[in-house]
Amino acid sequence: MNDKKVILNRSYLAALPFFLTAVFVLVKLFIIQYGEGPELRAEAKKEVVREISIQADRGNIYSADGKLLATSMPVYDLYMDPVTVAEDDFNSELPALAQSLARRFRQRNASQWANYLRIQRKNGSRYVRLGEDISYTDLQNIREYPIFRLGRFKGGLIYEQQNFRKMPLGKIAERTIGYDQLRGQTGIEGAFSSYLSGKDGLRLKQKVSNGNWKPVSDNYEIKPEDGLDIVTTINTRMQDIVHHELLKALEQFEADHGCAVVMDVQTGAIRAIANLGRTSDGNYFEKRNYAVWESTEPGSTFKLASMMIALEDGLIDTNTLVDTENGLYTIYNTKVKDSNFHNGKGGYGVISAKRAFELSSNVGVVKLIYDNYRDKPDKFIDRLYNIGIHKRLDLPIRGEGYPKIPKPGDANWSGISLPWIAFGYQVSFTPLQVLSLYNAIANDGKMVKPRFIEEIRQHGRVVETKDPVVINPAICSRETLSKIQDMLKGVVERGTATNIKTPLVSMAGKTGTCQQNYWKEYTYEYQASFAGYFPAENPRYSCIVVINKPNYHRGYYGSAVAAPVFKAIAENIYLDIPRELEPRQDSKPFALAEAGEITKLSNISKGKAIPDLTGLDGSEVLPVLENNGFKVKTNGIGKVQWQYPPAGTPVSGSTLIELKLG
Amino acid sequence: MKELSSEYIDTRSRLMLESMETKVVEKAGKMGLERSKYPPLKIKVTEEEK
Repeated sequence: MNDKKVILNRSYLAALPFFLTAVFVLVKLFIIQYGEGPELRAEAKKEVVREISIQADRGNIYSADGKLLATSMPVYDLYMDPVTVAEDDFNSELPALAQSLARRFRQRNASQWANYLRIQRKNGSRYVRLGEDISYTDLQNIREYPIFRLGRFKGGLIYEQQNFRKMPLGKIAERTIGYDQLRGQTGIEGAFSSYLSGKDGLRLKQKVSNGNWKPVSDNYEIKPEDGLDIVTTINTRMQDIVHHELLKALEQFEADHGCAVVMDVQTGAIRAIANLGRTSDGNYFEKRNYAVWESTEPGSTFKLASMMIALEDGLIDTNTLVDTENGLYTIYNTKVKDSNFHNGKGGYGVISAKRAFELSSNVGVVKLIYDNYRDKPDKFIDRLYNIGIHKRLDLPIRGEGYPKIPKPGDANWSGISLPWIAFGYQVSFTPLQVLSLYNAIANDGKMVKPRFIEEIRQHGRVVETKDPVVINPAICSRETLSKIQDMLKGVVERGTATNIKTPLVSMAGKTGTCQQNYWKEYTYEYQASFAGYFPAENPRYSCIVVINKPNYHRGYYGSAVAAPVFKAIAENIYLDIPRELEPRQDSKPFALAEAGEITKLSNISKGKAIPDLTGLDGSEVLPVLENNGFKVKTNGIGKVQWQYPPAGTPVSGSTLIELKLG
Repeated sequence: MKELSSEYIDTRSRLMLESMETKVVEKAGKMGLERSKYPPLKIKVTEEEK
């Protein structure tokens, strides 16, 4: 009995751990099933099914002439898995591969590449970086390299696609197109980000094998909305011209930075905008958007506003005389000097107001303004405000500089403020703000806001058009306007900018040479500028060129540094505009030419004396001469005014015949 | 698709760069060509004269 009890007790004791274990397992089971259950199930689902955000494609940025300025395109990061390559292939083709790699990725030479890959293979590394941001075309070439051409598994080339914002035109207008990234939003990319970026979508994906994911269904949970395309006002041909002409001048004068902008007179559309800054090694690149951002004292280009106000108030006329004396005028112990003032001599004597403007006489303009507004400076300042140049242009591009016009009563207003404002000091404007003023003169007094965007498109369809915005419908009276236009033309005809006069295209504008930081002694920092428009009659484009801190010894005058850039831009753009040749009433088709003319033309041949060609139509003479084997050089369009060799001279086939047409 | 579109953009980008006026002037200069000194003319003919 006792024995039985003992045995029973012992077996209970032995069973107890089993029982307790069973209870524990049961409890844990309930906890997992019901306590932690929902959370764990959700996590499990996440392991196999995931919501993956689908990036919307960012819209493209186009130029007005239909070229792509910015687009998102894939680029590739390249890696190699040297381990996967078969021993034989690796050993036999490694030198050839290393040579190809060295040509494309210059961080290592051929033998360094060979050694590097050999070591990586030995170490068992399966992910050796070769290069990044490789274009698709380059990738295609690299795929043909030795070893790589064996294919994805035997060749060991690994490429990973990255999205990259590309400007197909490279560095041109880079700053105006801008970027939209974490480090900031600049230019058009930044300003119109809400249009461009679109909305990201969502898609459910399920884990399959080896970390690959496949969509659960054919539909998106949330469909990504691609960004809209933006068509800018930029014309790539003009941009190209402006960029390279500005670059040439900056290099020639070793300037610190500069900008040049071309604007469509009637609509305010910015056709070209170049901003170039110098780097420490002397190269130039689109460093900042100077045209939009940099507010500086404009200097003589501002005399336009001064003259306009005095004319408008009827206080002066273009023929009002002013005594520029010897080019020096002292107000409250500060000296206003003309640019030709040296050692007590200079100035232009007594001249008309118009002449003072054309010659950019500081003394002349200051006297005209100071004498008339000395007692009522607020009237002058009010006029400036009425034009509308005291406010920012409110451009979509961020970072526009603030204009500055001091007014009587301000802390920094003094007795010399008015005269100094008269010739463009103590006030401050950005190049685009000055350009808007000049554009208004060209646009019959209507001041329009500079525009960067033509329209917004979605899949090629226009969804929104950006219309011109008028800032001030009339900045002055018609009478004043035509006087100002005449004066601006005079600057090029017979004033400070005669050096840019060309028979090809008429131009009107104003030079500006402004000393910067003049309060510091021995500083020779200048800003050379030229603002104007072309053609002078019926203007189509206005343009401003501002060049900052040119090398003082190479030149610093607006006429010498900035005006030639303006001229080159005007000429090049003008050459691209087709002219229409109206049929002339008096011109007759060749067959109907007068009998005398026909005989003259039929007399043209090698070895004979050349007839008198004057008065004949160039377009008729030219083909006859050329058909007879002569080389002809013509100048102009129209009838023959002058010929060489003169009539009666025997000509051989090799004689060059020169014709002046008009 | 992605590859085709990136090939298209890449090719277009190269074409655009090559066709820029300054590039063309530079290349044509080697062939002895230079820019015309006059703008192109559009010749207008009125119907009656035909």
